[in-house]
Amino acid sequence: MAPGLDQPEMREPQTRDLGDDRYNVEAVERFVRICALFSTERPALSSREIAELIGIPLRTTIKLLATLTERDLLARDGQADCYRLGFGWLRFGAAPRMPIDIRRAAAPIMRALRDQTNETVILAVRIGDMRVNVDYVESRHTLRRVTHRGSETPLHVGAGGRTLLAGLPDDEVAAYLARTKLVNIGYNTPTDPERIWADIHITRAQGYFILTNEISEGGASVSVPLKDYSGETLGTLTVGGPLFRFDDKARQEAVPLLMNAASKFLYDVEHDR
Amino acid sequence: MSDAPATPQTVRVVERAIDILHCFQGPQDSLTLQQIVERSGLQKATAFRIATTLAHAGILSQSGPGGAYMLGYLTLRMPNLIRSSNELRNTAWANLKEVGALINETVVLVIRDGDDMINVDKVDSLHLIDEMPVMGERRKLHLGAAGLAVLASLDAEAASAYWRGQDATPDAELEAISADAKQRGVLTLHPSAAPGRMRPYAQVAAPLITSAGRIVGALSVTIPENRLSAKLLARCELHLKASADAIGSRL
Repeated sequence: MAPGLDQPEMREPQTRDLGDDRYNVEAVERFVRICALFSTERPALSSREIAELIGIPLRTTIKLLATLTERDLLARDGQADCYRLGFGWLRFGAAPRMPIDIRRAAAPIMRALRDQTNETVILAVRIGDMRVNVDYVESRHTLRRVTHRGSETPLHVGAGGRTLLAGLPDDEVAAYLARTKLVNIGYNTPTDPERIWADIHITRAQGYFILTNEISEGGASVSVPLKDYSGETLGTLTVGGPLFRFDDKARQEAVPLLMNAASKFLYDVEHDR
Repeated sequence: MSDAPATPQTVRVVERAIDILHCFQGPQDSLTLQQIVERSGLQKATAFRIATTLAHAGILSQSGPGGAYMLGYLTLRMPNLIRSSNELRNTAWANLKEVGALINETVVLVIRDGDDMINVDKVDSLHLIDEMPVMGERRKLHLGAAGLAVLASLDAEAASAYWRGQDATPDAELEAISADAKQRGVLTLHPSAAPGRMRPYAQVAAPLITSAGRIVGALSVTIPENRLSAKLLARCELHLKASADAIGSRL
């Protein structure tokens, strides 16, 4: 991005037509937090549960829920105090849903990585407590790692998830582990916080993470974090394939390719390529 | 999208936030603050504050400080969550894929919500030219083949009650189309079917009726006129009805 061109909009405009800034911003934040509460495991919630989870009075919650229901972003099961995500969200599904800088910068790098490894390359980001796959380039082998855009798993699961977790400060990792039920949701996903902490330390020390036989038997993955210059982890790149082909040697060969890809990503993002 | 204070402020600001989200409907929409202001009708200071908050929360994203806005991560997550937790969609999905492959036309699963129909999911055809249905769109029953197929399946009393609540009334041609649909279990709108509603495509829709007799939605196909033929239409009618019946029997 050319500095200067967009600078004027960085300054907050002077005209004001809303009263208390903090109050208004809080309402918008609460709207987002309410919608983000819903998940595959928690598809429906009562107004009382929502109020408790967000930590706001029931009366305020009900007012927000009425607005969101009216606009189709939440739906009510009849007259019952039971809310689900509304169909109004579907209209946003067809539009590009990624910050242009991450996906655009990652796309050529992902294609190059796939050509170098001939395994599937996945771009994932953290959304709340989940790792969400937002783009991928598939291996040309007919037997290959598959995924789809929007596929999600808890942060502590898989190489990409653990790498995202490793990018968080220790207190956030600890809070995540405290609120997350650690059960095996694949072939051998971790249930022991000690094991997750050990993996986080390994990832931080070596800058990448290798996993085999975790989400599914016979699968193998190598992940690297995609960071900006401030060191913040924006997402992860993962190369994944079947264990018999993406064996120890192939995985070790993929590590420097992924590390180079992450460096190139950083350069491209910073130079707005 | 006016700034008139009709509701309490907490609600009003959320409505404005949703107005801003609705500015992003094009498939490649990347909007500057000024464009958001123009599309939403909000004042610049309000739009700035809300867009910044939405970007911070992950509903919008920004290409950099002062840069253009796009829909953010959370808007990717929500449609998948809605679809994966919808029982009708999950029951219908395998049939939807099957019928899509059989006819090579985009098949849409449209769910009924009272007097409205909502496009919930679709299987795309392999054609380069295709009608792209808007997902999440809410329409009255009489405004589209899927809703008309539902309407044709309702008993006379329920259908009359529906029409009483609308500004429109069915004309003779629509009555004939509905009667034909009721008899065959599939509704077809030809490109020239209804004067005043000329369209360069045909639509076929089959209602989804549960084993208990509830009418919960429809499968719908839109065929552009350039590849429309009697044979293709007949194939779509046959497979769509078979697929809708198969789904209905499992509901």
